[in-house]
Amino acid sequence: MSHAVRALHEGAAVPALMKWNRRVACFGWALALLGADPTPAFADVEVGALAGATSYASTWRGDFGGGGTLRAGVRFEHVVAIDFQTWESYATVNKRDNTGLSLGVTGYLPLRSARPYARLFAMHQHEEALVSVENAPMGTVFGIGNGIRHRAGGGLSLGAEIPFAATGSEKRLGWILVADATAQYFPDDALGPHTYVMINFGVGFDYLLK
Amino acid sequence: MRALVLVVMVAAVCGACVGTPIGDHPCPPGGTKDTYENFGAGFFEEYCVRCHGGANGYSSRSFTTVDSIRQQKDRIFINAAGDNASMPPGPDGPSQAERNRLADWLACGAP
Repeated sequence: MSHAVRALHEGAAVPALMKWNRRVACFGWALALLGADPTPAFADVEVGALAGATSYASTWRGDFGGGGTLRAGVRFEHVVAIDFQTWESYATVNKRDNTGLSLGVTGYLPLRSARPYARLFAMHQHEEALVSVENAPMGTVFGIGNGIRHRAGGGLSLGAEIPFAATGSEKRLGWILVADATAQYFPDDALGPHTYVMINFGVGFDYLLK
Repeated sequence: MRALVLVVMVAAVCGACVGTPIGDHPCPPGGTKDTYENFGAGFFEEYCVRCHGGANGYSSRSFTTVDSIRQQKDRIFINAAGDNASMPPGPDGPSQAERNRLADWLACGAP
């Protein structure tokens, strides 16, 4: 028997019901807050992603590399985006596998034919000889284990998106080509080079949510 | 996606034989004149102990005694000896002659 029903039986109906009314009201407010359509803070919100190729040189003598890159993010008002980008690549010195994970903010100039952008990011990088990858591949996937050199740094990308097609309902889905030049800097050079300078090319999309 | 890239990379690595294992490098017929005292200690002090020096190093693997080196000679060999050049980090590691000398010394049991 519930507290309210027991209270009715015990003749304390009014206080018990008032307590339950407050609980129901609080529950209703919580549901309303959870289910409410928040007031839109931005008129245009886009989600986007790209996949591409990268090639680079570092400040280590004779160190060159290449691989792939992925980026995904959310852009507001066509001007500013919060995004995540990762690079997976091979570098020549020490025959190593580099995995870069970055979180950044990108500012766009939303022109019609091209969208120049600047991306500022913080990053974490794993640098590991292929011998270690071969020895413990699962450790490489999760970034743990012997032989993985962990480094923190940051960087800047300067580039442009070139829209080349728009499809879907109201042409909300846009297709883009992307090219940029990126510099990555790591303060600690004991385990890897201070600086990487890279060129990235990719293809991607952005989808206008509203 | 990252896992897929790594699987492909590992497959390529395995196919390309990234490192030469110590088993492929027998001790020379006449043995080696190098010892821990006249070669090993100096080599590891110069190139390895900065990171592999125990509690204060970057790595949990320590190469500060001849016993610890003997216990880990297979891993040391495939990373740094002979034509293996995964360690130490960077382009300015031991010369090829020093790596060859390390290979012989490790293959002979790091006397």
